[in-house]
Amino acid sequence: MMWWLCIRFPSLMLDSLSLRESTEATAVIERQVVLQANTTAIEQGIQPGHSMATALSLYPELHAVERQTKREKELLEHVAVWAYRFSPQVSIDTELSVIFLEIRGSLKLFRGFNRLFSYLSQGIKKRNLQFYCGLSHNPVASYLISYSDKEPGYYRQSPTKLDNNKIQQQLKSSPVTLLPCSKNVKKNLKSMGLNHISAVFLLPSTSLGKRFGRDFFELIAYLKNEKKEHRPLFFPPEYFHSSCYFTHGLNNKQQLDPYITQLLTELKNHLRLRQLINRQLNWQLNYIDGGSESMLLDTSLHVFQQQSLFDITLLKLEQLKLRANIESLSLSCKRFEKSENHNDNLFQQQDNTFLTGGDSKNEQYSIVMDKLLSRLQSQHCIQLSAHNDLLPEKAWRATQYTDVNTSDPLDRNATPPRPLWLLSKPAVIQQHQQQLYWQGYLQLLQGPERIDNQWWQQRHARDYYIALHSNGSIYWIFKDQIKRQWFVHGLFS
Amino acid sequence: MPSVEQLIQDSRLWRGKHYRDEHSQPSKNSISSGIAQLDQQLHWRGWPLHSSSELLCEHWGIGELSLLMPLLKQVSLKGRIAWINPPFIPYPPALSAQGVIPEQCLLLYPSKPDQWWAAEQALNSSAFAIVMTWFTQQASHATPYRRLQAAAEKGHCLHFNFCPLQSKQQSSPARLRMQLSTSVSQLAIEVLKQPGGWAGQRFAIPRPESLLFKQQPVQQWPVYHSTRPSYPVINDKVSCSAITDPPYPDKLREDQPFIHQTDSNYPTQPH
Repeated sequence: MMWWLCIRFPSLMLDSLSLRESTEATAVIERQVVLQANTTAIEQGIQPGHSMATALSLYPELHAVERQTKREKELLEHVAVWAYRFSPQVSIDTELSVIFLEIRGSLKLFRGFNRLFSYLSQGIKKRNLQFYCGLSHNPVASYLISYSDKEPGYYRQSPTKLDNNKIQQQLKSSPVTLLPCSKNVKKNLKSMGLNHISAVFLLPSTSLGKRFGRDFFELIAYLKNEKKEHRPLFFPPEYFHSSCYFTHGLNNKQQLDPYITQLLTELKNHLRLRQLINRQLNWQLNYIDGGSESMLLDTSLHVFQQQSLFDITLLKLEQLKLRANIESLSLSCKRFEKSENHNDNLFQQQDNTFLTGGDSKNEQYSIVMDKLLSRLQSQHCIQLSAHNDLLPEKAWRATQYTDVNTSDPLDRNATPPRPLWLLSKPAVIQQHQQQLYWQGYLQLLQGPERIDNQWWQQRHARDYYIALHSNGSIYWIFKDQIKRQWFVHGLFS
Repeated sequence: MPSVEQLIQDSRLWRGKHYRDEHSQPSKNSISSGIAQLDQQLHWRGWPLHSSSELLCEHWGIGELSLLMPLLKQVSLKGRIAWINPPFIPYPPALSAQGVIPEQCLLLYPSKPDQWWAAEQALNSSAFAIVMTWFTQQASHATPYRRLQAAAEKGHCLHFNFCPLQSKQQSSPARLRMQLSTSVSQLAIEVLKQPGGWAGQRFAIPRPESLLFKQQPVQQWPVYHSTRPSYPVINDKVSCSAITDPPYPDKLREDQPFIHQTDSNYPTQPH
């Protein structure tokens, strides 16, 4: 038999807007009707179900906030992703604001219900959410039991068995208003004088089906434990998205630090569950005025390193100028790769001399390149490669650092000396009194080496010489035979 | 309490000359530059490891890179080399001709305010074996250089800072400082500061001869007149002294350079 644990969030609407603990009397409203009110508001006499007019007449300074179903769903999914570590069978119900977990299969892993439940409740408490739990064989029954004043552990008979009698007793005493069914059904039940579920249980189920429809018939069958309930299961999404909301807005970038850490920790857990590694970090800052700013960071780490990602994010954030107060910060990742399993040496050697290569060097290289690229443009990080081409400026290639590049094997036949410094563009040499002049006089030492190439495109005919500059440097210069002009092309450093 | 051996290993300890001469081998604190003349002049017999070295140049392209080439060749087999704001492009065919693997070289062009930061990051990371910097703007005080020296130590990295001669007067935390200038077909070096002993050494390293063949008019080509046959003629009973006396001059004289190009039609000066 399955054990379904229901986690019910009675003030999800307030929690999703982080308003539950606000000292101000606050209520969440929808279509001018109060849906949830915080303790301060309840103390003023405001109850869920009151109309806006009633609520305001009771307490004119009431802070009314429109309900945001999207945020509620986000919060539930967020908790569901976290709860996925306790069970592979997780289901969420946004209407009831509950999460169902099948925990029978996880008892052995967590060494008993008590340990599992304490981990679970600690985790939810850490998220500062109000919650109640119920335990039963079917999700719907566990939902009703979550309204009882007993701990879920009470409904166990032995470490591996639930006490059916206690469950049925609790269900029977539950009022029909708690049943997850339509308002009409509840109204009809009331008019028939059925206040508690025990009275519903006494009626023949076929007549219930006829009167209230097939859904209700099945609901009762689930509660009586005559049928197994199948709910759509929740699976963590393939991409990662998480947000932090700030009720009053943040006006300082430094205040973001703890939230960045929090989001990165969530990402870390997300990646660990899937054995993936992210290739991107997409930060988005939403301003209170509705505008937003996004920062895209490419990463090249092979192992998730929270600290280095944090550093990169701060570097990128430094360049950003805040236009207004920040309402929320979100992190999303869509590009993932399979993470390589990293094995540490059992007997780690501290061999950090500068000539050693290996994995740790590559990892350090990835970290420092991510850092550098977050501040410099990618075209300012260049990797070199040599290529066999007659034309000197085509005999090399600059590629961006992320690209894979390999040099051609060097043509050993071509041995004329080449300069170590190459000018990015050949510079024109002036001629002063029959002498070559470029920041000083040049005297030819040897040459020429003729390069005549690319006659099929644009012909280049050059005679390269090595020349001594009056300041003592040795230059690589050429005479363009087509333009009849002299150029400096490099320096023998 | 550290032992005497431990104290001697400490790079900060200055030692008298007669203690030093016993250890003419490259010490643990240095790596051979690959140029015998240079190693000889340095007390540590090579470039000091994990620290900054400063090369003050009259201008770029006087042979400053050739000083590092043997080291770069050795390092590029395993380690990466960062070039920060080089004044020109390090030409990959020339690099690979000297045995340096171009793929191991990463060129970074940070903007003026970012260049110190980028250099520090590169040094700190221990991802690079060598970081070479050409700062487009010299710092007015020593703090940024001191940070780089500390980063090089932390990241176990060799740092070479190329700077103009004007910064000679400025104090520098670099372990090794050398002034490079050109003289006739040579690279003149003056050691301004070096670890392990006194500085002030002056010496010169010749530029590679392959570059310096001077082109001469055909009339001035060196012609070697041999009065004797080039080999001993047995039949004519040439004395054995012909074998002991070299038929050709041993060495070319400086004033009669060897002609590299056989084609003399090319002018020495443009027309």
